[in-house]
Amino acid sequence: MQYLDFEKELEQLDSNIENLKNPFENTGLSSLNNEEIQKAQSEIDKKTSEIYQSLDGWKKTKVARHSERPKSNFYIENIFEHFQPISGDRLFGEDEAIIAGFAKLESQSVLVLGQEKGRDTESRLKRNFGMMRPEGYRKCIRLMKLAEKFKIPVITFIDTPGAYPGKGAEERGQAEAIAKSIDCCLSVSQPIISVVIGEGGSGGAIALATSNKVLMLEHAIYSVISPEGCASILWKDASKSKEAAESMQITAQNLLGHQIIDEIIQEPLGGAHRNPKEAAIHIKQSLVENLKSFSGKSADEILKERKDKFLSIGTKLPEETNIFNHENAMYFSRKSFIKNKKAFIILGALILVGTIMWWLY
Amino acid sequence: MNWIKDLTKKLKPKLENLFNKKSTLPDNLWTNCASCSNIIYREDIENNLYCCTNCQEPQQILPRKRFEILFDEGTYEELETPRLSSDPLNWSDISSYKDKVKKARKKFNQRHAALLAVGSINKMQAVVYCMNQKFLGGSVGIEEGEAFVFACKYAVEHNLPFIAFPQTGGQKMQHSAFALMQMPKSIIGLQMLEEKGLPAIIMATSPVAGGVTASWFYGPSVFVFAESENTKIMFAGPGVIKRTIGEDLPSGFQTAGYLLKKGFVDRIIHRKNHREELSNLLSILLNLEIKKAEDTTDAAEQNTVSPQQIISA
Ligand SMILES: [Zn+2]
Repeated sequence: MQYLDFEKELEQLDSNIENLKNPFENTGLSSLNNEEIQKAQSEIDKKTSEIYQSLDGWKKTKVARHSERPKSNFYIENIFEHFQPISGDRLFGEDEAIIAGFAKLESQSVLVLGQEKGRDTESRLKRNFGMMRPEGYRKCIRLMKLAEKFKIPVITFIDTPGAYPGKGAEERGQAEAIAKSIDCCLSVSQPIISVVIGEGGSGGAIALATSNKVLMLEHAIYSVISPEGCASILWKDASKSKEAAESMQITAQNLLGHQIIDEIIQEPLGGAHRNPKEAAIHIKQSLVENLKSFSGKSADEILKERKDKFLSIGTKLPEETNIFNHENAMYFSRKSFIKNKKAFIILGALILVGTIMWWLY
Repeated sequence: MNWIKDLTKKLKPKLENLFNKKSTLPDNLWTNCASCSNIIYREDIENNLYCCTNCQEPQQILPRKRFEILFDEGTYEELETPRLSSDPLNWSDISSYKDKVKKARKKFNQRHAALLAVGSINKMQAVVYCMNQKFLGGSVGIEEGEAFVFACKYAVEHNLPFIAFPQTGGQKMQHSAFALMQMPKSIIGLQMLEEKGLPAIIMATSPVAGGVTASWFYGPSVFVFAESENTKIMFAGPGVIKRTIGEDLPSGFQTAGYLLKKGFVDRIIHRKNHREELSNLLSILLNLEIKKAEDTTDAAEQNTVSPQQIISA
């Protein structure tokens, strides 16, 4: 288990409990002290819950990017049955940063599109760290159109630092591919449900998250730019990532509050990486329930609901949130400063003239 | 001549500070062509549709200037866009965002980075959405996104074609996820035009980057033009690419000329030909009689119906 920098106490407690569970090697005792182990375990649980209940945006960023955090591949294997992988955009190539295919979710046929970061060096390279190229988005468009034809709902797993930035991706139309993918999401008359399982990175994420329901795992993040990118541009200092993460309000809790996402899926104690199977069960339950909520809805209703949702985001905020009082206060203070400045200059000039007169005569 | 430019450059801010005066940018005598780096007399380029008198490169202009040279006789109606939050997250980095918004509003006399106008181009009425990159980078936040959808809705309601002049660094970081959500939102706007069979034209003006390129720029059924071969059009900028994967881009990359060859730009239409070419294309698409630029007065006499009526018919 890889511990994050704010989990030092947990690491210590975990190693303590390992010692208790392994008495033969350490103390020569011949039997387990179950009472002691239980006590230690409940202490760990308490501490874990404490830490994970108060994660800020930057800590959540670290959890969301944890190398052992379950990825799309794991969820696809553990949530769906009879997964039928499909490859290629029929234009240029196959993008392995996105796993795509048809499957059964309980008895319901679905199309699954999962951004995959990989879980070790080899698979990370193969998956391009979850950064999709234009071909990936075009593969998704091709398959979403098939899903529309077969009247099959679409489920997407979002986990990407962003769309791949590079010469090849640029000249093959990364921007066009993303725009068309969003357009396609908005044109599918079947329900689309997205789950942000780790990192929802900007345009690369929204391309497949323009959905009827956007669900987020409890410790996932979703933002317009990475905290590092934001810090280096707006603070001109990449080390200000913590401040950027906080300011951008990228947590599932922030986004639910802003009505940008629709639901938070609870993670197991201490994050999905501490109990991937349980995380998969939670996601599955939520997907099944959300899909049920669309039964009986017409194609038009599904299309309209999705559009109306995106059209209304950000429009219900009061005009100039928190601005006016603050702004007026600032305005007056500056005005009075300017007035004072002028007064100081006049006063200074008078004194100067007076001094010169006194010196001359 | 360089020393004059240097001198005025150095002195100007000092003098301005001294007299506590607002920036009087348009009144500068000299300007520097971004393309051929020649120093040109401002009055000369003003008489040349704000294009360099030496290399003809279109210079960056503010939306109201754009409207003046685009619409017949420079007349148009500016549309007021919905007033929404300009700072939803109460943003502050090394300075407060509210202050920046306030300053930009005062400086440019516009509420956000986009201005909206309706007017005639060779008698062809159109709704025009025009961005100002100097307004906080022309970044797209809640209000710019809402204005885009508002423009599309207005075009649909009045049965008018839509033209947009993007000029932006992309989505507004200070609006975070709210800015990201403007991407699907603007595409919904274009879908409304598509459903109504109304043309949408994007005329790129340097630079266009980020989320705008990856949303409405390549939105459904849009025509993508640029006013110069040198117009910068990109998704990820050279800085982002360098920072993320350490790749250097060749020169001339991410320009409209290059993208034209790669199949991602329809055509380069120089600013001098905007009025004629845009109105011609719109007339063809809408199956209307093509009006020549020269005989606007004649056409007015010959036609008893107004362009508005022709389009609605
Ligand atoms: Zn020039």
